[in-house]
Amino acid sequence: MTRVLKAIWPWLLFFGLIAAILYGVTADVRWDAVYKSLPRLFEGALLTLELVGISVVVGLILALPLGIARASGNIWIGALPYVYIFFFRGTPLLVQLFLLYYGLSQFDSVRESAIWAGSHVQTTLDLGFHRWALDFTIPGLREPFVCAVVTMTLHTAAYIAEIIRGAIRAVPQGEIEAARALGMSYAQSMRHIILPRAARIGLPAYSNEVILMLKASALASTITLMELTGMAQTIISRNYLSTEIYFAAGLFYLLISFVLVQAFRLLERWLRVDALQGR
Amino acid sequence: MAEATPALEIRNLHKRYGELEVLKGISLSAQDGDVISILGSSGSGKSTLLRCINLLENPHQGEILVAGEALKLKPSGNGELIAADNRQINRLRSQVGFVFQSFNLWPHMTVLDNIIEAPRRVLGQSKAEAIEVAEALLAKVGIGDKRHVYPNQLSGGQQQRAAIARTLAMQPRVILFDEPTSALDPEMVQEVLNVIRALADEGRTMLLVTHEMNFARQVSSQVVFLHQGLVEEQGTPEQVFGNPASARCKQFMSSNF
Repeated sequence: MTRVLKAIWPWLLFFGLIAAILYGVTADVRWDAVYKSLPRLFEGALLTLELVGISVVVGLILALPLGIARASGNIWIGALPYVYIFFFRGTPLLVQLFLLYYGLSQFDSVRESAIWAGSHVQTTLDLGFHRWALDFTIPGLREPFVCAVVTMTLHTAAYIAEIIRGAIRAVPQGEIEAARALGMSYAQSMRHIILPRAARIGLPAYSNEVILMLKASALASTITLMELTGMAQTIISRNYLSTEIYFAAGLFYLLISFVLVQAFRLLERWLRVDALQGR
Repeated sequence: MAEATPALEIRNLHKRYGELEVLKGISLSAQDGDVISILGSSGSGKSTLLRCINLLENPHQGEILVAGEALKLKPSGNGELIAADNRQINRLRSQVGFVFQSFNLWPHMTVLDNIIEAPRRVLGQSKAEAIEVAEALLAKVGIGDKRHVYPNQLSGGQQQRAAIARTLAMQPRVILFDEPTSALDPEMVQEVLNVIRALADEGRTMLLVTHEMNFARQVSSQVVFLHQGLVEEQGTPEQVFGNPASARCKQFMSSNF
C-alpha cells in the first residue's frame, strides 16, 4: 500500500488541488454532469488509445530502418530518410492532418483511387490443405480514423527515427569494436549487439514520444474523429458545461499517461536501463 | 632456412593520422607458440599496430597474413586500405582474438551471454555447446561463479578475465592483447597477468602490448621495442632487456626499471 502511495502521491496532490480550486471557485460544480459523461468519455478514450497505440507501434517499425540508415553515416543512404524526417519534424501535425484529409481530396484522381475510397476484398485463398474465404474491407483515407492513424504514424516515425539514430550513435564505440573484433559482420553486430544496446539507451526518449503522441492525438478531433477530446467537445455542445467536461477529459488523459509511465518504468527495470547509465 | 608458415605475419605496415605518420613500415612475424611483447613509450604506435592487424584501424600500406593467408585489402577514397572481402575479414577476425584495455564487455548481457554470443553467431555453435565451452573457460580464468552476473557487478580484474574468456571462446589462432592491465587498479593487475601467463604456458600465440616490464621479460619469447613508428630493437627478452643495442631502448629500459 505504501508503495502504491509512494508512486501516485504527486497525482493525488494534483487532482486534489484541481478539485479544490474548482470547488472553491464555483460552489455549484455539476458533478452529476461529470458523472454522466464518463461512459461516453471512456468510449472516446478507447479510440484515443487505439490511435496512439497503432501509431507508436507502427511508427517504431517504420522508424527502425530510417534510424539505422541515418546512423550509418553514409550520405547517400541517409539522404532520403533525412528529407522525410526534415519534412515531418518541420511541420505541425495539425497541418499534416489537414493536408492529408482536406488536401488530398482536392484531386479527382486521388478521390477516385482506392487509397482514398478504400477497397473491398472478396476472394478465396487456396493453399491446398485449406481454403479461406476472404471478405473484408480495407478502409481508405476517406475514413477520418484511417487518415488520423496514417498521419500520426508518419509523424511519430520521423521523431522515433531520430531517437533511434541518437541511441545507435550513443552505443560506446569500444563495444561495437568488440563485436567486430570477434568476427561479427556489420549486420550481425547491429542485430545482436548494437540494437539491443541502443534500445536501452533510447527507451526513455521513446516513452516520452509516446506520451507526446497521446496528447497530440487530441488534434484528431479536428477531422471529426470522436476520440477523447472530440467526444468532450460533442458533450459540451449539448450541455454547455465546458469546465466540468474538459476537467473529466483531462482526468482521462492523466490516467492514461499515468498507466503508460508506469508501464515504461517496469519495462526499463526489466531491461536494466538504470544499471547501464553512465557507462 | 625452411621455417613453418608463421601464425601471423605483418609486412611493411604504414599508418598515418592526417600528417602524422604513426607507423612507418613495421614488419613482424609470429610463429605458432610465440609470445611477442611490444614495448615502447606512449605514442610509439604500439596500440595502433595491434589495431591495424585486425583492421580496427585501417593502415595505409602493408600486408597482413594470418596462417599464410593474405588479408585482401583495397584502397579507399581517403588513401586507407580497407578490407576487400567482407567474408574474409570477418573470418580472419574470428581467428585473431583481441583483448581491449577497457574490456568492452557488453553491459546489457550477463557474463555468460557475453561469452556465448560470438561463438553462436559467428561459429554457428548451438546454445548448449557454447554454454559448455563458456563455463569451462570461466572456470579457467577463475570466475566460474560469476556467469549470471552483469559486467558492472564485477571488479575491473574480473571484467578483464571475462573479456579474455570471451576472446578464447572463439578458439583464436592468435590473441592480441592491447594493454590489458592498464585500466586496472594495482591489486588487480596480477590476477589478469596470471591468466595471460597460463595462456603463454599453454603455447598460445600472442602479441602483447604492455607496460608490465617484468611480466614481459618473463613470458615473452620475443620482445619488440617500437620507437616513433619503427622497430628500434627486436630480440629475445635477455637481449632486449639485458643488453639493448640502441640508445633509445637502453634509455627506455633504464627509466622503466
